Amino acid sequence: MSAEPWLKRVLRSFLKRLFQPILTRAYARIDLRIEALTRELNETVGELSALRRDIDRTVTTVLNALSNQNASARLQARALEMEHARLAEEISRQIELVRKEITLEAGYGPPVDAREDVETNVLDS
Amino acid sequence: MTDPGPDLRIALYSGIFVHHDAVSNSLQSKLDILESLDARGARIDLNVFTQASDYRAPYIRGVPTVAELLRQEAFWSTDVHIFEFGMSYELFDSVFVIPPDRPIMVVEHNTTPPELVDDPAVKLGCEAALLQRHNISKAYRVACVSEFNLDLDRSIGVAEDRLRVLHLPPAHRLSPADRKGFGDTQGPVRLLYLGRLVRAKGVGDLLKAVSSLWGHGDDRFVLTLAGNPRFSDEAVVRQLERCTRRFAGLGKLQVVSSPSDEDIVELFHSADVLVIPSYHEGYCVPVIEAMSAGCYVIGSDAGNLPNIMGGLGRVVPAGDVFALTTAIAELVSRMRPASDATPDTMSAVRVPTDYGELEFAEWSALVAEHLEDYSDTAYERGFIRLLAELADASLAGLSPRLGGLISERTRELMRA
Repeated sequence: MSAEPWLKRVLRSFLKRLFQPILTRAYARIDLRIEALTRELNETVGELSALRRDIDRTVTTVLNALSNQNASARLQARALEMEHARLAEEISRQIELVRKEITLEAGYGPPVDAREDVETNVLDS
Repeated sequence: MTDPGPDLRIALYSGIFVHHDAVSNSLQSKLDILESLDARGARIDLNVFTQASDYRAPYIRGVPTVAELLRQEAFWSTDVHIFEFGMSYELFDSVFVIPPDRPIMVVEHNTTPPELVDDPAVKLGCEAALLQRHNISKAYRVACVSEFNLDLDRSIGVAEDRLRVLHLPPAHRLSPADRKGFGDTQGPVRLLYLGRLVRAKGVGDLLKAVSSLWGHGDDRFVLTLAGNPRFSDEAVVRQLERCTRRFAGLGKLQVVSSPSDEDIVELFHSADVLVIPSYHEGYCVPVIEAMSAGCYVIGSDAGNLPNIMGGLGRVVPAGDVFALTTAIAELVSRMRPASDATPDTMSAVRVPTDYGELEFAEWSALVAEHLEDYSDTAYERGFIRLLAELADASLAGLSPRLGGLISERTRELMRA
């Protein structure tokens, strides 16, 4: 059984008058809340974007620094290797000179050019 | 049934990946080989990471920064990383975060020494590359495109057992066509220069040399300069403009700006001599292309030029304009000995080489033999051998299927 159409109209009008202000206020509050949330979300997105840019810059900087440090360490290692080789050669030369000097003192008669080497080095030093 | 996944995930890297660029062509050659393996049934997952590209394909990923690269899942899942290296580029710094069980190969293209570069931005890039080159210490294999580059990487302490040579193949399909003798074409001898119009390439020296000969009335030769003005030095372009004003009207000098692939093929086929008076060359593809087309080469003794010429051309000291002028004059006199030379007498003209003066046929045979080392076949054989080594050293390992296909292809290439 359905209500009479006129009764429906009256009821609708009554309910509208009763609830409209409440609904309007509720909608307004919801709008305000949505607006605040949107603002917060935008701020968060902005902060995240800034954070991402910072992270990107840091990653790039760190990897670039790693590359430079790697190059610098390898160049230093190379220089040390060369210095090591030079020192090893110098030590061998000095040992050879001392050996010749000992041979000379022992009276075994080294070759003439070797004796000259020793004398030259003694004078140089 | 679950998908077993790819046999190997490979990432290829280059600062830029564009047309008409030697480093990009090197990457493209690898792509072609990998795609052909894929077509034979290997399941290869491919990605190209580059900071800029004018190529379009689903696997080419434009990645402007290393931070962006590190956000890509495809980067972290890659089994084998292959970096092209010549100029400094940001993505190459990613070698420091690649896990040790994902082998890295660096393709060494060399860098122009900064003191030879006039453009301030390019100079900075070259200086940065000198430092960044040490990233190669992270590589399991280093594929040097030339013997000259081997020495460069030895000088920075790369271990000998990691070094290999992988000559780049020619970028264009060329053949000696129907050359019957040395410089047997009609009319004046045709000299060609192909490359960037910059100081480091010795273009200024070449212009001085030809101007001097033309100035003294030698009209037995013409010169064509072909290159991209976008990558040129302003000072060299100005010198070229002066030279053009003086000689272009007389039909002696021609400039071909930004030649297409078809233009380049035509230029090589119609030239008698390629002149490359560079102060530095890490490889020099035009020499291989010129020799493939049957051209003689006059080159300087800088960088890789003596290696790539294989003793079959004329080498002059870099920067020695007098020696360059003399070499051009001698060669022109040899090719155009007298106005009454007939085709019979021309076929008897001997070719000057490091092995003495050779008959044209003998020289052609030696050139063909030399070019075998620089062919597509040699390149593919070398690359797939390296690929097998890299796959074997990776966490994924060399799958039986990929290993079998590589062996099968190697046998085919050995027979070719």
